[in-house]
Amino acid sequence: MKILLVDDSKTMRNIQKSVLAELGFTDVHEATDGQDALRVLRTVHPDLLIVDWNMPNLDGIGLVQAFRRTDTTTPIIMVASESEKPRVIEAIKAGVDNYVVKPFTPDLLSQRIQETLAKCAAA
Amino acid sequence: MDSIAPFLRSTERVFSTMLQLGVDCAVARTRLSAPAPYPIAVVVEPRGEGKGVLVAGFELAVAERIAALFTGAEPSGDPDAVDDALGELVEMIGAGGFRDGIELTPPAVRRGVDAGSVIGGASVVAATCQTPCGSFELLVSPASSVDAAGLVSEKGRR
Repeated sequence: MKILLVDDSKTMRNIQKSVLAELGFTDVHEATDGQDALRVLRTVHPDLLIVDWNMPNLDGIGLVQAFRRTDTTTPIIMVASESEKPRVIEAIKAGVDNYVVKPFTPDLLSQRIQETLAKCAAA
Repeated sequence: MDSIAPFLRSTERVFSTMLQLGVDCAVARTRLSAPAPYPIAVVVEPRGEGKGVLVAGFELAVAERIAALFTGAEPSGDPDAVDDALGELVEMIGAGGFRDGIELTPPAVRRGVDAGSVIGGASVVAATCQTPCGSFELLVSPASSVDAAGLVSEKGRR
């Protein structure tokens, strides 16, 4: 299972990597913003993307929209501080499969990752 | 004073969820004069037409302790790691404190800057937040703009 983490905060990427390691996922690639992620995606074909919303250069929504033009099936989880319903709907419309609001506990992120992978495996 | 209340609630939520740390925020007060400089000030503001600025001011040792707790590492004194961790925490506080639907800028971390000048000399509502890692200060200026002060550039986090 190959996973791409996209977040401009190294701290958040490390926290998410710890949660993924607990779940047994160690093939984790990282990108520092949406543009960097598009560059990484030229050579890495992940089975799951975990994407921050608020990033410089290209934000999470822009990345999801760009990614979904060519890939409609790989699951995407958005991890974002934006918790208002219209923002969550905007993310889902862009092609996000699950949404985690910051601040979050490691258990919540772990649960959402497992939910998302199970849902997409069943589809 | 009401303008800072959502930010204090947000601070308590962020610290309890991400750091499992209690925060006790003192009664907020309005400041008419610029506060003393902070070794580290983290600034978050709405994008576009949105108004308001949130500044969190930290002493260096407190900043390093909070960052270490957040990252799960020993305090290293690495300024990039401290800036990154504090920026993320204050962004979460800002997201919970600014009104619904506001999109925020990525956090900007400034070292050795007078936080009062960051806010541009406008009056601010301030509160001191006590944590087991030490205290820090939150300042909210509901109507000012960081751009007006011309001091803050987007922090490059990697």
